[in-house]
Amino acid sequence: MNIIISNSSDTPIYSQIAEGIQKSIISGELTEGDSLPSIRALAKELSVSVITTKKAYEVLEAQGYIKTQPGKGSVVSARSSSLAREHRISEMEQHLLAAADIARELGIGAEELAETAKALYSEDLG
Amino acid sequence: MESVIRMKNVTKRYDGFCLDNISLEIPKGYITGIIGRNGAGKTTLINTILGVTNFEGSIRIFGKAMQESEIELKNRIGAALGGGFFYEGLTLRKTAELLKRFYSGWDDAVFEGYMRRFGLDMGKKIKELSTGMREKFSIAAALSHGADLIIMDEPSSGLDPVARGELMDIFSEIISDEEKSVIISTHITSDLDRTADFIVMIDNGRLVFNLPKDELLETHRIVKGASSALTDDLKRSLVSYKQSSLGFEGLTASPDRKRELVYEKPSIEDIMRFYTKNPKGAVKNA
Repeated sequence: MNIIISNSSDTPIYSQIAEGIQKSIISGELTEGDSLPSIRALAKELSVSVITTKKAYEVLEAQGYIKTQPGKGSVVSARSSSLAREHRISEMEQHLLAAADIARELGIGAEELAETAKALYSEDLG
Repeated sequence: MESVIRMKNVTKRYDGFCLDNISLEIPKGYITGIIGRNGAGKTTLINTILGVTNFEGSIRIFGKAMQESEIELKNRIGAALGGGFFYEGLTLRKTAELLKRFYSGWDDAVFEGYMRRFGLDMGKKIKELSTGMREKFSIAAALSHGADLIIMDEPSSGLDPVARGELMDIFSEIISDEEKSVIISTHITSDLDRTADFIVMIDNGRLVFNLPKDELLETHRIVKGASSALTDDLKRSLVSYKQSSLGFEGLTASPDRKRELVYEKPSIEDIMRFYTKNPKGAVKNA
């Protein structure tokens, strides 16, 4: 698992940690039942406050990615991978929405926008 | 959250200085940084906790008062104060032998481990040590009797950045069992930016705030803008500000954002700077 923290980023550090773990779930590196490091071990590894890692785990737990059992630590939950996919899909939709807004502003129709999207999609693959 | 220290209405008066009615709780299992400028009262605050100085009010450590349980508390506290007070002519080995008689929980293996980690030679005499090495020795001694509460007054002021980073890593290791707590006073706030959990600021003998570090950093923003944008309303919303011919810079704890202003994430140092009141009689820079 890789978690990269940027102190200059506007994203709070607990969100960066939560996102790092989310990404590992999305990529399949972490799967259902895998255990996560303890809050204090992770804080030590990342040289951040214990409160920061605690909050990151609370966010992931509230979103359903992990389950925490007292005394046993945190594990990746059963529905984590479908959640991760949903999360990415909604992210994609946000970007498409933004693109649609600009298209409308420039008087570009849905057809033309879809053509552009199609062209860009295959270009990215190549 | 369980507290390791509870201070209630603690007051200590000296000539020309007063630690003024401080009430605060320091949570167990975390790293707490005490910040403030030189002379703000950090050392006096620590001295009252350690019972080195008398005071009005009450302080409970692990629920107990120093006057009633001095031997137990001193065994459970590891303190390093301003480079330590040791006999100059003794070797580190001899000094350690003297120290271990005071502490029931002294552990030679732990002490020797820190000596190696800090690159200290047991055969050297105290007077042969540099300022940084003295600090390291004093820290090693404080960490070697299994204390549940580590209190360090300016532990890092004589250390280089690499050693300071290493010291903060040691503190993280110490608290990872959830039982031990670390309190560090410092004016080198960059040591606290990453690993500290709580920040206590004192200024001019008064408690300014006692907050989780993340909350402190997330709620505050540096604000910059043209002098014309510095309205009376804005001034009132700022913790403090300074103005020059090229514009103004201030600190805000308000979530409101104005388009014509620039907002930046502060460091603990920025926050300390803007919460520090100018001493009486000083002229604010124009």
